[in-house]
Order: sequence, then structure tokens, then C-alpha cells
Amino acid sequence: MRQFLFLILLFLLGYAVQAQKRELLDSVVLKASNIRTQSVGQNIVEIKSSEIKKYRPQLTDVLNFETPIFFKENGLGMVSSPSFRGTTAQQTAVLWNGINVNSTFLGQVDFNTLSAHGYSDILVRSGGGSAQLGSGAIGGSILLQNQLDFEKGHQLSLNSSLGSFATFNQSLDYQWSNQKISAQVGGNYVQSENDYPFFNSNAKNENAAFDHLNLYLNASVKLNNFHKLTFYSTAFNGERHFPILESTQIRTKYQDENYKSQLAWEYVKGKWSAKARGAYLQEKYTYFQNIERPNLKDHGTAKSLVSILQTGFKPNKNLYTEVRLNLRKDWAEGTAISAASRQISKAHLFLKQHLTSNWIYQAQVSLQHTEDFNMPILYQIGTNLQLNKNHSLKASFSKNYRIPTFNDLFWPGAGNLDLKPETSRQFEASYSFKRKRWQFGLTGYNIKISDMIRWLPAEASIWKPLNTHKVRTRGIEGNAAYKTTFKKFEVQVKSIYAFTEATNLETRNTLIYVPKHKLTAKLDLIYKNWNFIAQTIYTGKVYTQTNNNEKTALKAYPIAQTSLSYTSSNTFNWELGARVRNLSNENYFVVNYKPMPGRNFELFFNLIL
Amino acid sequence: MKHFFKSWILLVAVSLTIISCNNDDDNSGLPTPQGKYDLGYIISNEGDFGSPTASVSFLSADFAILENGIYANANNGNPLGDVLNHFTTNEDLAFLVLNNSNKIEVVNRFTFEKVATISEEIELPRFAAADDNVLYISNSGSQSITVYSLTDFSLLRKIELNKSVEQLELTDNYLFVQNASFGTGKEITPIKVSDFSVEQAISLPDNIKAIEEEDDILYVLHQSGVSKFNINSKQKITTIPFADGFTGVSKFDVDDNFIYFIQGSSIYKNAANADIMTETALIDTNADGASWGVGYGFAVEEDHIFYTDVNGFTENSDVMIYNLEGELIQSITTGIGANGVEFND
Repeated sequence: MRQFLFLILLFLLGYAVQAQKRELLDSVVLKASNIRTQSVGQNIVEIKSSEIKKYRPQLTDVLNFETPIFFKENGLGMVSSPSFRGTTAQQTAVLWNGINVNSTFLGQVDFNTLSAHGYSDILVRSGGGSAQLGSGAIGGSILLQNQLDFEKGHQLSLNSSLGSFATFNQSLDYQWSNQKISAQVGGNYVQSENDYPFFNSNAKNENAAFDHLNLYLNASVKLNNFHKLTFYSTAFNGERHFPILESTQIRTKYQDENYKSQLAWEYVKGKWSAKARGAYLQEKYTYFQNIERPNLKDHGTAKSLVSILQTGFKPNKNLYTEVRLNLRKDWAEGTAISAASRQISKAHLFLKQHLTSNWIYQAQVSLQHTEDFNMPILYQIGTNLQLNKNHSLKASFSKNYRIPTFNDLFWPGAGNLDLKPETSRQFEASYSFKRKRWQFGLTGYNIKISDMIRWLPAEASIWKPLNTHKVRTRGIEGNAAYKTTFKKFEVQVKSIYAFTEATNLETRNTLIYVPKHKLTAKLDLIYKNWNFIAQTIYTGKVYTQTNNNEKTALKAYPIAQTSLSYTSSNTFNWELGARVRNLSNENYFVVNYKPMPGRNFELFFNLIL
Repeated sequence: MKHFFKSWILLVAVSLTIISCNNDDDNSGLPTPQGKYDLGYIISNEGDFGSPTASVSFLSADFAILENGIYANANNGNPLGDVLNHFTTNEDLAFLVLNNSNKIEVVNRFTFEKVATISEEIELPRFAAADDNVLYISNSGSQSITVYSLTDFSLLRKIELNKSVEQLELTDNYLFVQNASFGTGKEITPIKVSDFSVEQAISLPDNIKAIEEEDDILYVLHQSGVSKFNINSKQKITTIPFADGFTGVSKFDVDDNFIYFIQGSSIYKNAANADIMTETALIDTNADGASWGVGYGFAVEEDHIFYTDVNGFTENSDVMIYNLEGELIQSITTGIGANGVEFND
């Protein structure tokens, strides 16, 4: 409560300062505020669609190479859960055009059933952001964005690839815009037999085929100079067989069917802006326990309605304030959960202020209510200080949470209605250096998480979720980039390093599946029409048992991939290339007993009209 | 170097064999081990579901020698499989029921060398029972009992019961099938071993947790007590009820006219001919709250009580060994998910 009062004071102070600076009030050009401009104190990595297309069409691959996040991938293409800054899979929030889309059942997103295709960019913001982005924004947040630009004309692009293990990937995208209307439509289909041979045995990855289809349609209309209406929608349909290690095992498969849509109205005029959004989300899974007995299946469907109303006031160019109301209702039903629902209402206050031309801070607080459990007050305070042209500092302090999922609350015979949200307090500070060709950044953070929800065996064969663990994760993230042109070569070098120490504070043991070290490096070379890319990820040792048993720990491994392509831009724009993954044919395990493929190949062809 | 090591091992093994033969000559009155894993306790560790981490441990009769991973050790390091739910033995063989591998591994019970793998009509196997000619497997996936010949391990019969099938107790005349799993189900189906005919089910008043045959009596642990049945007439002899409000008994074993049972971290001992079950624990294992998988395995073998704490399946299991007076004799660490103990002799 004290923090809350402090924030209210800050707001009042903000208005007082604004009153004194009346002389700055003249022509203020206003743009709708968004996550990029509301991340003071924190770091954002932006991955553009041209980069996304260079990876597998599931989110795991692109984020693994481009961010410090570790992915616990249960074999290629299988369930993939992130560990961001040493946190659990439910402690990473995923937002689709501003709407939190973490699964109602599981609280996490499977990064192999979320397509990376069809977004204009993906933003990855490290650190806490629950006040702003909702449940799960503890380790960090992944923002899938569709930017609808105007006056760009037509563009049709086609991307195809053919790879080892009968892997086929095809996507088609079309964009069109004039002064008033902008539209994007597209789709992506991927399928793979995924039957890669195992190292040191005659066996191969059996029953591992997958396919998915992802479609999207987004459109925006400028009604006049002040009003804009935008519609976003995406549909996903995927099927995955779950691999078996022994031929005698029962073959299973899993189907996902997800649908998301959103309508947003934006108004910007003078000092005022407003936005109203309504979104409908649907997730459906079907698990076939034995593909030879197709009637034997588990299924679940969750639906969510989200409405967000916000209004921003920018009295002068140095001050911005925003009030946002958010109402969300989730329903779920299925073989395990029969007709459960939950409603959460939330009020959010945001303030951002330039104290001097080099010094800026933001403060926000969110108050929430639900009938199922007590909600903590969440907040964040962040500041950026530009020391001079080259050096800058950032700091952020926040309180965040992860609410219990429907499975945690309502699973028959196990669900625990006494659960409360996991909460986290965290602090981070960054230094960054920028020159024409060089860029360098260093961040240190400390996250304390209380009341972690863990499923533990309560009786002979029944596991129940409980608020038990206290966890601390702390670490250092570093990044460096260098860009130059040398004769006719354009050279770009990039590297990210993450040191993570995630500790269970009761046992003092390191959390399982959190590598202490992760390093990525990338060289991107362009010579005339040729593009050469070489990249690598080094993942440190991980423990697979909570007692940090060295015998069952997975050893550190490097993986590398490289590609070479030729681009022609005569009558139309096309690119043809080849890519080699796991270049050194490394026998590595991301998850114990889930083999990954050895060296494999891909041919790709891209066309832009 | 590798060759040297191999030859060295061979040499040691040969000399050990010679020594043991010599010992045998010297002390002809004592039983002779018929293999490395004879005359000791076999402990099954089911492993972590979804990974081939099932394993078998061997503990010598004097508790002095513990060897984990004996299946892998005896079979070129090959993993046993995924979820060793149960094992049983007959004269020469041990049958390892691998639930999530969907197979039965048949091994020589003294050396643990693999003899055969059975997978025909196996569908999520749970428990096994065997005599010298026939092997019975309960399959929860097909709700059936599959029967195999032990001469060529071929399928003899699939008996579909269309209700849950769990523990098996084999007597001279009947195979008793517990039709209750995960605490739900009130029946036991007797199957005549002479012609595999299914007889009318025995009904209990409440949910069955486990069954056990000892001295021609079928003991049935259910929610409100332990009922005793004649194994030939299938008639109920008596029920020993738990005291009012005494619940949560999860496992039991019957040995030398005593019924041993567990509730959470406590072990109880009760005369098999008593009128009511005791409420006073013989042992508090002090298996603490942090690890909830306490009493996952429980057995009374060779005058010792074995109680396992699987540490939530995230670590290797602790197996606590008590004498029949309740004194802790030894505590050992085996594999993941220790769930059963049997003395091999």
C-alpha cells in the first residue's frame, strides 16, 4: 500500500511539474503510446519479419538464436517452454497485438505451436512487466506485433523451403495499403516427418511427424485524421505426434486449434488519445492417448473475452499519463475441467515524464480484482539517463505476478482452490554504449519469486499444485554488435551472452533446466548479391534433477548453422539459398532422453512481387 | 587400455567364480548363489514417467552391498525402459512390467540377463503373475488379462474383462484380478487357471486399494478395513475394520500372521486375526513434508520392513529398512521411484 501512495504522489508531482512548464505547451504532435514507448528502464530486442523468415516457422528457433531465452524443447518441434532469466515457462508472458495469450489451461505458451510467421516484428522485453502486460510477465515478455502501414502499395511475397526429414514449409503473404486503408493477409503451412536418426544406434525418431497451418488477416482503416479502426485475426491448426524411444510404446498425438481476433478503435487528437479494444481468444486441444483407439481422447476448450479501454493525456511534450481499464473473462471446459470460468478486472495508471532532455522516468501501478483469490498490487518504476551521445543508463524496479491456471485450480481431484498468485519483486540496471558502428550493453538483475506454484505428489498417485517454493534468479546479460562496410562487403557481427543463477532458496540448489551460461553469436556478410550467415549458440550444463545430481546433468553443447544465398533484383526480387543446421553434427540433448537431430539441410526460395 | 580393462574384469570374474566354487566346496550346507543377484533383495525403481529411467537395484541379504542399475549392468548398458510398474519371479525368470514402454522384459532372475521381450497384445501393462508355465499380465489400456506361454513367450489368450485391471494374485486354482485402480473400484475377478474361464466377481463394500495372498487366504485392503477370503471357495472369512475416522491407508503387506500397513509417513503392524485394526503406529518414518512421495513402495520381506520415499520423483529414492520391531536398520539410496522389493532366493 505504501508503494501505491508513493505512486499517487508521483502522479500529483507530475501534474505540478506540468503546470510549471506551460510554455512548452504548443504544437504537440501525438502518436498513440505503445509498448515501445512505455518500457523506460528496460531493454527491448526487436526482431523484424525479414529476420524471422530466416528461421524455422515456430517461435522457438528464432528466439533461441536472437535472444538470451533458453528453450526446453522436448525434441525438435515438440513441446517447447521458455526459461527467461531463469524463470519457469509460466513466467514469460506472450502478447499478441497487446493481448495476453498465455494458455488458460497451462499458463504458458508452447513456442512450437505458436507460429513465428505473419508478424511484422517480434519484440522481446526482458524483466518484469505484469502491471502493464498481465500475468506471467516475470522473466520477460514476448510481443507479437502487426504493424499496419499506410501508403505502401502492393506487396506479394512467397517463401518456400524444403529440408531434411521430409520437412516442407510454404508461406504466402500479401499486403496492400493506400492513404486510408491498410491490409495484410497470409498463411503458412509446415509439415515434417521429423524422423531423424539417433546417434549411436539404429533407431530413429519414431512417431514424430507434425504439421501446422497458420493464417492471418489484419486490416486498418483511417476513418478521418483522428479515428482509426483496426482488426486483427489469426487461426492456427496443428497436429503433432509425440515421439517414442522404443518401438513397443503406444503412439499418441496432439492437435491444437487456436483462434484469436481483435477489434481496436484508436482516437488521437491534440493532447488526448483513446483506445478501445475487444478481443476474442479460443484455444482447443485434443490429445489422442492411442492413435489406434481414436475414440480415446482428452480435449479441452478455453475461450476468453478481453476488453480494454484506455485514455492518454499528454499535456506537453514532457509528460504523458494514461488510465486503462481491463476486463477479462475466461471460460474452459473439457474432459478434465467441466465448465469453469474466471473474471478479472484491472485498473492501470501510467505516467511518463522527461525530467530533463536526457533524463526520463515512468511509473505505473495496477489494481486488480478477481473472486478466486486476492490479487497483489503491481507496479513498476523505471528510469533512463542519457549520460552523453554514447553512454546511457537504465534502471527498473517492479512487482509482478503469475496467476494460477485453470488446471492448477480446477483439475479434478487435484485442483487447489486455495492457491494464490506467484509474486515477484525485481530490480535491474543497465548500461549501454552506442557509436556509429559499435553497440554494447550490459544488464544486471535480481528477481525474487515467492509462493511458486509447483505440482507435488500429495497422495499415492495424486499430485496437487501448492504455493511452496521461494526462488531467486539473478544474472548478467551482455550484448555487443558491430557493423561496417569493407570494400564491397557489408559486415554485421552480433553476440548475446546471459549468465543466470536460479536458486531454490530453501534447498540452495540450482533450478533444473536453467543453464548458467548461454552465448549466441552471428556473422552476417553481404557481398554484391550474395549473403552468407554463420551463427552459433552455446548452451551451458543444465541439471535435470532438483538435487543437482551431476550424473543426470546434461552437458554443455555448441550448435552452429550457416546459410548462403543469392538475391536477384532484376525484373522481380528473388532469393535462392541453402542452409545447414547443426553444422558440426553435435549429439546434444536439450531435454534428457529427447534426442535432437544431427546435421541437416534445407533449400529455400523467396520471391517478392 | 580398454582391452586390458576388459580382460582384467574377466580375470576378476573368473577368479571370483573359482573362489565361490571353492567356498561352496568348503561349506556345502549353505545355499549357493545361482548368479550375481541371487540371495539378496531386488528393488524395482519405476523411473520418471516419459523417460527410460526405470532401473533395478540389488541389495545383499546382509545389507552390505548395494548395486543400482543391475539390468543395465547385465545387458551392455542398455536402458530397461519407461516406468517399471511391477515385477514378479518364478523358478528361473523375473518379469519386469514396463508400463510406458508397453512391454515386458523377461530376464534370468539370478543374472538379470535378458531372455525375451514380450509386446504382443500388451497395452499399458500394470502387473504380472507367473507360475512355471504361464505368465499373466494385466493391461489397463485394453482392460484385459493377456496370458503367455513360458516355453516360447507366445500369446496364449487375451481375456477381456472390460473393467479396470490392476494387481494380480495367482493361486493353484485361480488368478485373482483386482478391478480397482487409483482408488476406484470395488470388485475382484477370479479367473480359473485350468481353462481361463472368468468367474463371478467378488464384491467389496468400498473401494479396493490392494490385494495380497498369504497362506491360502486372499487379503483385500479397502477403504474401511482388510477383508479375508478363502482362495478356493472365494467366500469371505472376516473383515478387520479400521477404527472410525481412520482413513488414508494406502498400501499393505501380510507376513507371518501379521498385517503391515502404511498411512502417510507411519507404518502399522496388526495381528492378522485381530478384531479391529490398531491406531497406534509401529514406526514413524519421519519422511518429511518437503518430499510428498512418501511410502511409494512398501513391502515386508525376510523379517524386514521396506519403506520408500521417492522424493517427488525429482531425485533418487530413499529406501528405509526396519526390523519387525520397528527399529531402523539401514537407509539406502536407489533409483528414481522405488516401488517394490522382493527377496530373491
